Amino acid sequence: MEILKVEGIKKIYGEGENRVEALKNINFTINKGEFVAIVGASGSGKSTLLHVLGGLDRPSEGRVIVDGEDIYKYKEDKLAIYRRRKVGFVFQFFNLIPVLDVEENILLPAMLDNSDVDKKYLDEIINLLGLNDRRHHLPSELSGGQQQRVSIARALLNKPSIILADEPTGNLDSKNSREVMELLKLSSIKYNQTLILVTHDINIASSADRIINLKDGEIVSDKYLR
Amino acid sequence: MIKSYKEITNKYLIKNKNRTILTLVSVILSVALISSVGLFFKSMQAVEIENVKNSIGSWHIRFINPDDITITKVKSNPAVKRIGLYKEEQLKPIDKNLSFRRILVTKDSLELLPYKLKEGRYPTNNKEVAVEEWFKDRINENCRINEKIKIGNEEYKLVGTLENELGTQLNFAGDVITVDEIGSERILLVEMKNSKNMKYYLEQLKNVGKNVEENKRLLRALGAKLPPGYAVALGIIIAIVVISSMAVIYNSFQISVVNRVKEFGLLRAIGATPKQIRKIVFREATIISLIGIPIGLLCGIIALYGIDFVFKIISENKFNIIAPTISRDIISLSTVVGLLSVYGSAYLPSRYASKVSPLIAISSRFVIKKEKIKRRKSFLMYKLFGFEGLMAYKNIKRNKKRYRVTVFSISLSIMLFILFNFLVEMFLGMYNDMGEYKNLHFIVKNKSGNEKLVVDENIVNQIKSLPYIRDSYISYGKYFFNVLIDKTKENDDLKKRNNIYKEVDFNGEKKSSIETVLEIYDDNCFE
Repeated sequence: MEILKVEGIKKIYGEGENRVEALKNINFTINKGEFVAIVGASGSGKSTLLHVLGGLDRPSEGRVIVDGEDIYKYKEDKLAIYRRRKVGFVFQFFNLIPVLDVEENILLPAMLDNSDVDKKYLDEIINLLGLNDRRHHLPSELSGGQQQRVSIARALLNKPSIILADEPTGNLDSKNSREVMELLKLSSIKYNQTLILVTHDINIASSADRIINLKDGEIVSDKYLR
Repeated sequence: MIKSYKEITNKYLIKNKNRTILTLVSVILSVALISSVGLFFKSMQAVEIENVKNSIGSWHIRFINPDDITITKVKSNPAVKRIGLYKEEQLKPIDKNLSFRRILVTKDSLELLPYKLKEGRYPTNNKEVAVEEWFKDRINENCRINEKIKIGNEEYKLVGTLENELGTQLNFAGDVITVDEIGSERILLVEMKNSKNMKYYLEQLKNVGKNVEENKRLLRALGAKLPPGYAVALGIIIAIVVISSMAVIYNSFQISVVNRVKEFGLLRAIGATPKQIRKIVFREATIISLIGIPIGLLCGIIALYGIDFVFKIISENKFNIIAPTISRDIISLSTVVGLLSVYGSAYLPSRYASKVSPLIAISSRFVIKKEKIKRRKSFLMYKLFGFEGLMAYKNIKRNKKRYRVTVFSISLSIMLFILFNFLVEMFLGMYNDMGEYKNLHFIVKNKSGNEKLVVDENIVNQIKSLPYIRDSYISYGKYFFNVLIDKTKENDDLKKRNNIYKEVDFNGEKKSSIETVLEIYDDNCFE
């Protein structure tokens, strides 16, 4: 079942001499529950593509259709709600609010939504990510791997249908990288989520169902591994 | 566990104590400044009102010789609080240095007149009198309450003594308060209800009858007759205080927002709407206001009592410059001004925060802005301040915007200093504008109204020869007369003011008449 469709995406930065075409006419479709890795060299446009999919960066041209709706037709507020409910982000720099503790950081998306928190579900994801004994620690008191697990928990809280991860292991050592990847895969299977991951690590990419390879803003290959 | 995303603000304020305290201090200072200045003026006003009520009376306007219709009309006017009729009789001499005047009062008019009972009670019939203490002592020092007293050719029963007044003593003319048939030559005193539109009602009431006089000092003290200049001056002071405190608070909010750009970006990325971001910043304003404004008001009130305390020491408790009055108007005005400056200062930073791109949190590419840095020759800076000076200069040139606010704050604080210095000078000047006159130790003058009684050469010489007299000055009094000038010689500026030039017919020619005063002094006075 198709969840996300990208049609003729172009993204152009700057003007005149500084004009850079980050994305040139990108087209693909992703089905529900797929694990897609977007790979490519530095500057190939893979992060930009992920931002466009996540409703963070308006494309210069083209459409992003999620569940049958073009998200860039939304006004700013509705686009924010799209990011809040449909998408969970995991970033390279863990991006936690420094003044909030682990539990509060995880709860943020629900707070922004003014929705009631499912305590059972909260405990479930906290346990799943092994953060139970860190609930009331501040981000500054956690290791890199632990911080990344907090941001995964935060991404899962609103039960989004799509998880977007931008180099989630970029700042982690190999042991933590493996753990984080396991958790991402585990949760995407458990909650039937679509996982789209940007990486330049070929080992990580090889654990995906499908690899989209970008070069200079264009898709050079799109392969299903399994 | 937090209940709302807005609690980020509380946590942030607690975690960044220093910045929070700085913002709080600036809010407290500005609210305290505005409230203490306002309360100070109100307290000066309270003293002035009390003084006027004690020396002139608490009536607002009075009608001289009103007819019965006028009285009925005035009485039924909804803006009138109370009225009272009384009559001042002609001065009658007692001896060559003392005279008296019967004041025929009613119960109602006594409340509007400045008299204050010291002992006993007010008279109830035409055989009873109440007089000022000094006057009683001059006539019969041993006379007690309820004893007979002879004033002029009549004998009365003294039922009360009044507090001494300055005016009557200067004129050697005592007021004899009694009750008698008032007749048609009377004065109608009117006290109006307290209202914001008193000025308007006053003008309306003045049209009811003829021969109306205002209690100008009381009206001025009450603010009903506030000259437009004062209101403008007050407005300018408030504006300067507001702008300068806003500059400080704005700076503080802007710094706090800029420091958290990444956090706001993150919140935007995980689905915060621009409105929610604004709410986070405004909540900061709300918390700062809730804590800062009450403390500011409290400080303002403490400052007021502090000023009162200092004045009491300076004046050795002899007279009041201010009567500390906590006016609800001033408290609410300061609160509103405080709220306005906090929310006003938070507005731009909140807009800025809500427009932060979510990408700022994610991609380092957006954090470091590529600036166009011009190469500048700053040889002079290098020569003057060395390498450090050069670096500082380049940094200032690079962040012009940020330093503009800093320079603005510094200029404002200097401006504030000069302004308040000026105000204090002006205030002190009110007590100094008598010039050298205030250095005189005593004045001998004829105030009896008796033309034959003058300070003659003999007295002058006697005074001059006293061993402790250093200098004496003679003033020969004033002579009032009119001067006629050609109409063509009129001054255009003066013409704009009413009642300066009066047109008169002199020997068939149209002339302008000006009231003129000639004051005569001896040579010594001009030194």
